[in-house]
Amino acid sequence: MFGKVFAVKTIRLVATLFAVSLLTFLLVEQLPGDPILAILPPGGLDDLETIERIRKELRLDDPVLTRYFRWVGNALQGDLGKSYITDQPVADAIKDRIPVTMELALLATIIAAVLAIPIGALSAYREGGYFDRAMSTFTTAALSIPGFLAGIFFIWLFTLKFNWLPSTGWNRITEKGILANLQTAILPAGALALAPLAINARLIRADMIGTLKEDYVLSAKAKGLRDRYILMRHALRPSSLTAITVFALQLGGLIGGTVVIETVFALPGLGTRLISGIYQRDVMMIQGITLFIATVYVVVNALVDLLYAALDPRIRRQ
Amino acid sequence: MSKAMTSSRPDGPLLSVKDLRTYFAMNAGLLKAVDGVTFDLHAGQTLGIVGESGSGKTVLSRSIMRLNLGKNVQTSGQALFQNKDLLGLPLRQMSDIWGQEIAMVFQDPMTSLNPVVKIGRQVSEHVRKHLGVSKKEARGLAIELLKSVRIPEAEVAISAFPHELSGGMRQRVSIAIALACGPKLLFADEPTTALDVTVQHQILNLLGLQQTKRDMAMVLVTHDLGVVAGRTDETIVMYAGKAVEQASTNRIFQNTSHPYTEALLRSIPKTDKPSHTRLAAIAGRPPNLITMPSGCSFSPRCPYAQDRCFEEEPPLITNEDGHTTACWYPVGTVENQAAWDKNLTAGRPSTLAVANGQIIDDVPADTVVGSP
Repeated sequence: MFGKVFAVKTIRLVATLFAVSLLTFLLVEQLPGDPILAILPPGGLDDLETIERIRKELRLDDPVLTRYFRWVGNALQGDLGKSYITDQPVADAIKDRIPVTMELALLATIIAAVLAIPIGALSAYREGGYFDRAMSTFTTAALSIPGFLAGIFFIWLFTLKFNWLPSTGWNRITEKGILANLQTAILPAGALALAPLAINARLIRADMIGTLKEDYVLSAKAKGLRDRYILMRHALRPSSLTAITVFALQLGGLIGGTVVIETVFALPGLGTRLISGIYQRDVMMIQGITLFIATVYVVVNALVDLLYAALDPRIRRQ
Repeated sequence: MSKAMTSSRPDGPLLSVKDLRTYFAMNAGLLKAVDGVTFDLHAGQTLGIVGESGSGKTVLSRSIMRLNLGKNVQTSGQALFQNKDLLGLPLRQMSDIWGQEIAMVFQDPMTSLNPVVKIGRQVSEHVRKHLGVSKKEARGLAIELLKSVRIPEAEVAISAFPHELSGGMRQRVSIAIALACGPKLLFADEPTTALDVTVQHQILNLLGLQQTKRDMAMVLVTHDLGVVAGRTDETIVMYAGKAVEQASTNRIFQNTSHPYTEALLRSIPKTDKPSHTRLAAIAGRPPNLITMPSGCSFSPRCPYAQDRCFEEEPPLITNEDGHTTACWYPVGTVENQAAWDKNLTAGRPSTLAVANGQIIDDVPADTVVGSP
């Protein structure tokens, strides 16, 4: 039974990735302009011979599908091609840039989760109270402000006003240690965390209000357990399923969201590399990074499916 | 299971409830869920609270336990537990009493156990809090408790989740939870209503056994008079938030005094009757607790009701046998018989309903009284 479910899920995962890769390829194909023009040295537009040579080298004359399958086939072996501009292998570029993006996304996830749980739980516990109303205002604000604006606001507040934290740049953990690293990471991560934090706090609050009306919460109270214990050990788990689902969707979104935030804070992440790839019409780079982000998104969602089972034993048996 | 009645122990009652009233402020007005209930419960004794849905019996037990959640609750009166008024205690102190001194078994074991928490933790987490035992000791205690409520393979059951157990087993778990800290008083709120009939007896017997073994006082709340028969020392019959009859359980059955109690007894299905015998239902519906009728709240449905019943509320009167009733025309009195005859002649519908029921049952009107 479990084996069958697992097989179905795996097939679905592979099919999704296949569709994603095809769409990515075709979309990039539709970009206006010939990538070769971007590769040519300045003033080389008339050099038809060179153009022809490059076209041959990159095998751009082949039909679309042939090129697609060649790309996918290589990608399956870990080869995402080389940048047209710098000749750097795309896989290397990703490897080089991913720590920054990953750390931002993870840090934002942690900030969002660590704050959303108590905010949601306490709002539900005193539904309609001062804290609940204050948090309702806060979450509305956090949701209506775009991440990059929040980022700019953070820079104004923490760099220009108080001069506590640097506004741009990145300290690698491996080079400068974790503290210096966090100094550069906390502002972008905070800006990134704002929206998921607000959404999750609201979802947990809504689910928790329902859970607190359950009989088993009353019976836990009748056992003499403290309210905080009941909230965290009895009510939180059943109240977090919706938030977890949305969280998984957000995690993928976070990696995409870093594209903008990395630009605001001038960080050497995957996002800034993708943006520069787009400016330079570096087709292989765009394709490779997009496929990578999409793959992470799909795999994370599959993992969250498994997390459900861990949270609710009733799902485990189905 | 019932101990001999010792209504005057030297150390006084364990729980003494005086004129308890619980009102809910609703948009439509004040809902009087419990309206003046008084009783004493001694250590090791059992009290049955009987009434139909909405009669206030659950609210009564939750009021005493201070478990009426909601901001619109107004409670007045006294509930002295070991000479401390529970109604006046700060909630922080209540949480030391909950589970440790007073415990509760809830109606539906399908919903009163947390579906995502293992049985073992649910049975022992409050023991760890109240008695400060270690995690390892708590595990051993959980196994012991599950064994005491006769759950097979208790060592396995502690790692199970509630959905992996049957309804009866879950209610046994609830009982184990309630017994865990050795409470002095147990509220069992319709503990068998959600269960199979075959399981009901096992659960009631288990409760009775544990109650006697631990010399624990118990309040058994039920809508089923058959459940309290032979299981409780005293019984309170509630109607529309009021105690309408209150006496030793034997007296309630043998010297039924209130027409509502009589009607409840009449509605117990009898196995010695042929099949398809119509069940003697009580005519009409319970009153709206916000807009209560004047006079006796049972009067609109009562087969004996006279003009006085609609105008004046009957007081609770205790006779020399300690039998308390609120009725102008108590069952078994001459006045009652006269009222019955008068209503029958006048063709009062709720009287005819009972009379017709009796014709089907082929029992003369006066001999039905007090024969369960």
